[in-house]
Amino acid sequence: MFSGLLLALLAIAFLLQVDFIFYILYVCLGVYLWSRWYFPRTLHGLERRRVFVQRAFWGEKVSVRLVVRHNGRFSLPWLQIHESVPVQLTAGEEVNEVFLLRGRETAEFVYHLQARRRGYYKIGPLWLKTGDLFGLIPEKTETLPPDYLTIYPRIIPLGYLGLPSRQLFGTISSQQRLFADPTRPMGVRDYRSGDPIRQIHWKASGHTRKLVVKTYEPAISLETAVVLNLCTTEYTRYSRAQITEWAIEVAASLAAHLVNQRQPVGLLTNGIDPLVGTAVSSQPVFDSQSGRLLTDATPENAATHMPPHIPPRSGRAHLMKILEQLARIEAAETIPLSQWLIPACMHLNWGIALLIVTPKGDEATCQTIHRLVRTGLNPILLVVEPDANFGRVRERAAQLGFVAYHVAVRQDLDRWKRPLQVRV
Amino acid sequence: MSQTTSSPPVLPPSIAHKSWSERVLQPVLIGITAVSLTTALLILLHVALPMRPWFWLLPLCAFAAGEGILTTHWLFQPERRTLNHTLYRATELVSILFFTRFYTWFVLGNWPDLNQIYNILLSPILLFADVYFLVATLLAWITWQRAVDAAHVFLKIAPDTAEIAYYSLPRHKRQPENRPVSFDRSPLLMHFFQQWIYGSVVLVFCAALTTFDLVGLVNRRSLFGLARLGLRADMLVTLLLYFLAGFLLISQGRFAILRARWLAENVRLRPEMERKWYQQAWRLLLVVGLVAAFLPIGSTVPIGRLVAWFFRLVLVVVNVVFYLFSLVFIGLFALISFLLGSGTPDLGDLPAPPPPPSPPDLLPEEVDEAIALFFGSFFWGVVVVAGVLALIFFLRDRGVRLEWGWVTAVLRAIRNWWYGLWQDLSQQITRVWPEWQQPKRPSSSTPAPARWRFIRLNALSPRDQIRYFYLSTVRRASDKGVARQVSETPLEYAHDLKENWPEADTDVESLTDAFLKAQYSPSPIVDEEVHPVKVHWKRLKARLRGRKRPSGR
Repeated sequence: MFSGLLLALLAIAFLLQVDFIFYILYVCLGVYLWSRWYFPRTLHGLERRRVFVQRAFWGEKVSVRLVVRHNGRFSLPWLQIHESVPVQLTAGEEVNEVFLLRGRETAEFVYHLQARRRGYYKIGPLWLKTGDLFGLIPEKTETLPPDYLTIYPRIIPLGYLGLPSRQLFGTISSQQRLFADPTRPMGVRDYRSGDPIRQIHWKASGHTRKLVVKTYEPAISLETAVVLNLCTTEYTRYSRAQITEWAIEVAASLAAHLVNQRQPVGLLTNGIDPLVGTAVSSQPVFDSQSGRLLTDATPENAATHMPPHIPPRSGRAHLMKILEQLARIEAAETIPLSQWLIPACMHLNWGIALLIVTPKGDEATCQTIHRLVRTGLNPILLVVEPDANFGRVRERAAQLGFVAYHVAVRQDLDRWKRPLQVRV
Repeated sequence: MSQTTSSPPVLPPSIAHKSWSERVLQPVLIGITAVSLTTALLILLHVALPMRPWFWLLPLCAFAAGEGILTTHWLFQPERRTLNHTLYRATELVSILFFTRFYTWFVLGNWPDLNQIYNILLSPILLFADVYFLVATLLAWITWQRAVDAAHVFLKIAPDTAEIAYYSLPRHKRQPENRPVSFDRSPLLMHFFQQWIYGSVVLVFCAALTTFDLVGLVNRRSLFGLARLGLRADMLVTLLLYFLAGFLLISQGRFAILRARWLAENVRLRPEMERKWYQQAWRLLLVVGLVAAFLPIGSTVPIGRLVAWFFRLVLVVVNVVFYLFSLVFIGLFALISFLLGSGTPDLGDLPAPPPPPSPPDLLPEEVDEAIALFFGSFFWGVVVVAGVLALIFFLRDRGVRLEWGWVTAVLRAIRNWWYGLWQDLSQQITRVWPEWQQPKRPSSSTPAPARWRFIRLNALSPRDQIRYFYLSTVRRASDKGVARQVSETPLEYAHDLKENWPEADTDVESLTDAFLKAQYSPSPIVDEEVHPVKVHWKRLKARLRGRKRPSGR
């Protein structure tokens, strides 16, 4: 339409030879060309970045800062920015604003995210939109690509697990006298018949005029692998969402505790990681509402989305690795525990402790764990679904040579929050 | 420099109110756009027909535009949705029509006298048989229509009350069933944009036409040797105002569209945004205008000449094609006429047709006049009642109430006056009736002299003014003893006058020539021709007044 006006003005100006019409023509053409040239170029040249910490623990508040800088000399009459924020994380703030950006001006916007639920979230993209003052050209849009935020699962602090171990000379205090560590002297006691001569504390005996022997703090080396069963068919349907989350929290809490105890920890799970198995070229897909990472796994190809096992290692960096996987992991209809567990544990060292987090302690599960006991591993069963007859499970486990715990609710973890009480 | 914000509010506050630019600036710009267009037409009329006071129609157009915009704003308010808008607009147009009629009478000073009112009563069409009034009505209507159309577009574009009320609520309090129907506002702005572009083409075309010597064209009646004039200053101002106001309005419309979208999307709009938007638009137009002022004129650069030659070539080709088509068409028409004409018998030998029957005797003229008076009065009665009702309807909802007590008092006064007049007439008739019944005396042969009545000279047309000069001179000369005989032509009578007042022969000749032209020539007489005749008439009048009555003729 505007081009029509320009042509009409041009024709009239040349036919009727009125010079002032040329002036009007120039003004119209100037406004049009300026709009056509300036706005797309300026928008494209805007510097934009998103500044935030890309990992957060459960319950933390994440501060996200958006910076838009206009390096041009002239103003941008209007710039609309809109940041896509996951609904599950929003703290009631949003960046959806229109403003004028002068030449060489920087605009900063700060909003906060509340880490309410573990997951791998997409933050953004940031949409920037602008246009001319007269509507002569279509609006132009640019984006700042999204970034990703990992929210670790909730970690419940534990004091002392008291898990049995078959490995000596570790760093964890133990109540099993068999594992007294001669490098960790704890005190003295009266000599009793049968005590080794080399444990007699001669200086103290001379001083007290009776024989006393050194006592040592018992210690074990607890190389551990957390085994997390996330096969959905083994969970009760109506409470599956809550129980799987609880199982992940238990696994994360155990891993964190053991790493804090400077023990090597690994992770084995039959859940799926949405980032695993997708083609490298394809972008991860996120739920538009919640912002959570979506998976394209089906019951047929779910096994291909299972993450590789994380071998036992110590250190905080390794813990972060485990927690990141636990942040992304999702329950799915994969391989049942009874079929998956034995092959999964083939590569583990002899005597390693297996903390098997699973919903039920049924016969098949116990038999599978018993086979692990017979191969020289040290499995411990942690049942996370409520079970009124858990006593039978415990008895069955005892008969089959392993320990079973029931951790269906948070209070069940309280027994491990107590500090170590060594019986001397 | 940086601007920082955190936790923006849910409600965009600056969207939820009408700004001064919407309430004040926008109507003014719409008015300027509408009036500029009609101003260009008025300038063109003034250049082509300079004898009429065309520029006096400018206030009328401004009034029509302002009234249309204000009424549109008023009708757009939510509480007036139930009002019959079509009827209201119709009464508005009737009111403007009445106002235009009175305004043109006022401007021209030709208020109708009793005779004209009588004629208008007989034939209502005479009320409109005035070119100046018709042009004024047309221009007022164009201005009003464009102003109303533009005002309506901009009111529709802006977020309405329902939208503002709905989106002002926090999100959790919004009921989906109350959500206003969203619609695409861009076509509305596009409509205004189209209208503006059509108007600009008309405007530019008018501006180009005013650079031609149209008066010379009319006098010469030939396109050859057409002189070119410069662009008039008033046309320059009109062009500038039209384009500047149009651009600013388009910018405002754009902002209104975006604002409505931002409102629906819960976008936070900074309060200074609107003000800065207009500043940016102004600034851009000024800078571009300044740069454009330093650019070479298109017709002077070589490429411009080439383009001009190209356009002329296209025009010549179009003319030639049109000419050839005309020739072919005329040739075909002549051929068909010839073929049809050769087949018809020769009518020359046929006997002459019988004379048409004489028309039946018409009714007496008095009966015709009475019927016309009856129908005319009935028509005007209906018009007056409709006009008054329209005016009452138009003003009623705008707070102007008719005071019936005052009306009743006026009607009572009129009735008393009429009653008193009737009483006086009855007494007069009662007193005169016996004398009237007596036998009448034979009337004298000489008719009674016509009653003198005051004539307002400026109200007459130029032709009538010249007639008046001549006839008044004849009357004065008759008073001085040089009466014009019935058989005398004006030239013979001029000879008599020159014999009696030889010192005024030039004035007599000029006045007689002007009278002959005014009386018998079909060519138009313009205002400029009246003034020299008036000078001659005044001089001759002084000479006639100074001379004593001659002894005999």
